Amino acid sequence: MLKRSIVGFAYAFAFTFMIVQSWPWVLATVTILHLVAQYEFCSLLGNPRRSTVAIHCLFSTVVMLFVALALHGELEARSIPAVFLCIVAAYAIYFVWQSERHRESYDRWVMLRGLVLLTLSYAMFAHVAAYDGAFPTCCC
Amino acid sequence: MADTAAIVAGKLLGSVPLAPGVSPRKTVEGALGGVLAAGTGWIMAWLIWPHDGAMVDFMAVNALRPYAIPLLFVTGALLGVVGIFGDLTFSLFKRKAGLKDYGKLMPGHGGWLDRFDSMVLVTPFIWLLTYGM
Repeated sequence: MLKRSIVGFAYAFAFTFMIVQSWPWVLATVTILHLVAQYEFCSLLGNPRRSTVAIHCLFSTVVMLFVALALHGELEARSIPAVFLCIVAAYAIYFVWQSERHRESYDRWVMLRGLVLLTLSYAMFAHVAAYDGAFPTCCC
Repeated sequence: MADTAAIVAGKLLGSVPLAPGVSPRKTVEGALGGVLAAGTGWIMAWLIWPHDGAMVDFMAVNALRPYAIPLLFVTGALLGVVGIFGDLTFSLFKRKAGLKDYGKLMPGHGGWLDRFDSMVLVTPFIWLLTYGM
């Protein structure tokens, strides 16, 4: 339990240090963590094809970046729902196509769940965590 | 902070199961430890964080100023409760898929997602407290 507690608190402090910085750094950190989270979430599928996992991770991370940039005011805010719904529709189409092509029926709802829960949450998290005046803008 | 405190409190004091159908090892005592840690953590974050307009600032409202610290604690504790539901939601996904952990990135904890699962449901509430009020 001691090892578990030490590892837990060490990760918490490292995470807090990484995340409480200015926008570019936070965005880079959250992007990497989002990729890891989506990769791990794909384990719910059992034994998915590597290409499916890779496409899901990259695709959802692009969406996360779009939503995070929009929340941060760098994109037109009205585009958020439209972009997100387009991505969800593209996802549904992609999985129907994959199922037909490989005769494997992935649980596309698992992927959509990952997209909705993780991607939106990480995008909001990046926006909340970032504040100006920290690294790297303080040093430029 | 809340997650690790919940683990420690659960290990030391835990006896009453919280949700045996979803996550048999979680206990009510562990959950209470996590909620208390979340309340304390929210106060610490408010003290440390440069809250110029960010985070809901009870000090900015004159009538609430004497109660700012208890209110911050209650806010953090409520976020801790939401976090427990996030934890249980992701445990339910794992249980349905027959998995124990999402990954092996963090020794003793499982994957990154095993630690960040509670934050997934908490983040929208933090966003609302920060920018929506």
